Amino acid sequence: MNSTSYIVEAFIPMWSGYLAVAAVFVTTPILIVIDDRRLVVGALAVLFLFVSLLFTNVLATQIAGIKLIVYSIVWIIIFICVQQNGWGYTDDSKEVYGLVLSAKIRFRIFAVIIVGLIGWQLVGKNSLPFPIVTEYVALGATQLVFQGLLLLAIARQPLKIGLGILVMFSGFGLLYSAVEPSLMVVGMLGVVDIAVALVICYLELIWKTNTQ
Amino acid sequence: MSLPMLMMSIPVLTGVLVYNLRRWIWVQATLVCGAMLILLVLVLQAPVDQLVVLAGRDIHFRSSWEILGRSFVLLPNDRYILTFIFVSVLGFALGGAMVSVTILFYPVVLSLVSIIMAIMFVQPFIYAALFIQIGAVICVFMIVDYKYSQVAGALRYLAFVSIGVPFILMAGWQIEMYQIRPDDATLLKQASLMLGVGVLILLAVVPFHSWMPIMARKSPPIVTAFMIGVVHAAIVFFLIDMLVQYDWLRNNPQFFFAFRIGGMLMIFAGGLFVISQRSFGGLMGYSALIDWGCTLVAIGLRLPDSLGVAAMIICARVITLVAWGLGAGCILGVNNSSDDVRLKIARHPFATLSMIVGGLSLAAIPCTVGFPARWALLKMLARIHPDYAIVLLVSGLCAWVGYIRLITEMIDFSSIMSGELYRTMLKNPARMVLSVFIVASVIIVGLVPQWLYSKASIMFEHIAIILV
Repeated sequence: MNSTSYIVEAFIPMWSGYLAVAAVFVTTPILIVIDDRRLVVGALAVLFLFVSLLFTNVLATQIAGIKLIVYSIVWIIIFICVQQNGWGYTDDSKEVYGLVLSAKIRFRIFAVIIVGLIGWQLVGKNSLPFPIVTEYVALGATQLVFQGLLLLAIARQPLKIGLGILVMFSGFGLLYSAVEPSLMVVGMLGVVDIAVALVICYLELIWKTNTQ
Repeated sequence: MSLPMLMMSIPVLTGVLVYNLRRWIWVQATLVCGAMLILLVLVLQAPVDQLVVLAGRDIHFRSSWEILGRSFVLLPNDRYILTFIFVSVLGFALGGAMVSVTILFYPVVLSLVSIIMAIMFVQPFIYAALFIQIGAVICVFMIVDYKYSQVAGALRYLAFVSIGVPFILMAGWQIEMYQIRPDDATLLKQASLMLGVGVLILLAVVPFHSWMPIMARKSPPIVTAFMIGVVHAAIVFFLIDMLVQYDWLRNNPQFFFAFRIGGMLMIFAGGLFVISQRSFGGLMGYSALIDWGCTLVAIGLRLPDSLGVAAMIICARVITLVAWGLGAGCILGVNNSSDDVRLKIARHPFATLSMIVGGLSLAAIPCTVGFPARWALLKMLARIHPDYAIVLLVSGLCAWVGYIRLITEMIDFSSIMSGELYRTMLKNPARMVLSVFIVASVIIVGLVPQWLYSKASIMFEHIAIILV
């Protein structure tokens, strides 16, 4: 037991810093740019793991553990949903023709870069109304919020829009937990995340039936 | 016994029962109406914080309910708003029994009643934002099912609510910070800004309005009507609660200016798009946008009389939308091709009448319930902001033109009068009676609006008194 807690205590500070932010920078573009559901669901799992680690910077480790449990439930719901609807691409087109990227993909990459830069500048200028969080947490959180909003804006499939909402909420949750760390708020935000995941699965099933 | 707990539990428990009885629509409708009548009796008659003897037992109805350190408090002013909500749900439940609705309509409506009450009762108010988000998630189950499988409207609605809620949560945090640092006026400025942005997004101000016309075209009409008439109104009630609670907010002229501008944007965009609509659903969606714009402008004027007008618009809209939903529910199906609609119009004259009268009332045609409040607002604006009045007048005229053009295109009055009327009367007398009743209500209340105004203005009387 002691050795486990020692490992956790040693492991969390190492992985919850800039490494977690880097993981956010890598995984959120995958959610936005790529339509292959296998990659999207895999990237979501990695993203949720590192967002949970980022939460240890603003919440007690036990409460961050609750976030990890919530994200695990959300991911399982999404996984089951995708498994029911079929893996592969969200539409019929393969986006990469040999080495040539389609216009849609190029646009998304461009949008991800622009939005990422905007988020970065916002943190750099210190214009966020959240003074307590550390710089790297703020950087990760703003990336999550902005990339989530981008996903909301450009996606058409229920799954992607749902992921946009979840990513945006996870970023907002990071900033908000720093100023409102009460268990009740964390719990209710967790309930909202699970409810969003459930409703997205419902919409995805109906959308798939409709398109078929 | 805690009255808020009792009132929030009744719809949830009835909802569980109704969910298990979802094959029998009339049983569902009866249970929902029964639950609403019980709630009405409770909200109007239950003596709060007094000991009463009921069936030989002493009962003490407390006005608050504490759970996990948070409280749900029933304030005296909430009673009139709750009465409006329960009566509205009663109307939609009756209407829903006569037309095509999604399979989860009744259980979701009951859950939403509980959530709306939670939004109004909960202290501190940041939890209301979370209830708004949960309510939006639940609404999706009512908007879409395997029959009405167009998900775009539900997705937009969910996305926009999800964008708006974080602003309200942040406003809540800044208000808490102000209580710790009362000298820092910047916190109040930021809180007003966040609250304004959040509420305006939730109230579907342009460009966050697109769910409204999409839902009006693709979702079951009575569900859309319920969303626009009741669920959307809950956000206004939340706003009024905020204004009553915080004097710095109601004394902030920029906050009200934002509402006036937001409302005018809705009126302008609604007028711009309503004239080009080729479907009754689209017309209704953009007319509702104009109507909601009027509500925001009326609140934004920050006058005691204009708040009465806002309350009148909200109440009139519900009567109008029940009429529209009842009619359109028969006429507009899943597949809304023009020929299908023409055929159904010829076969269902009473439903057609109900849909048209409801639609025209939403567009504020004279002699309907939608007109008096719009006229009162127009007169106020002409006195204070003549430029706003011109925009409102032109947008209203655009809605009229849109309706008149579509009615002349889609309806052949001679075929309706050639015997179909009699056959329809025999086919579904309950629907006919309800259609006639609601159409008569729309016209009579439109001709004699004082009765409705006296009832509606009580809803916002407390805030009007504070503003004076």
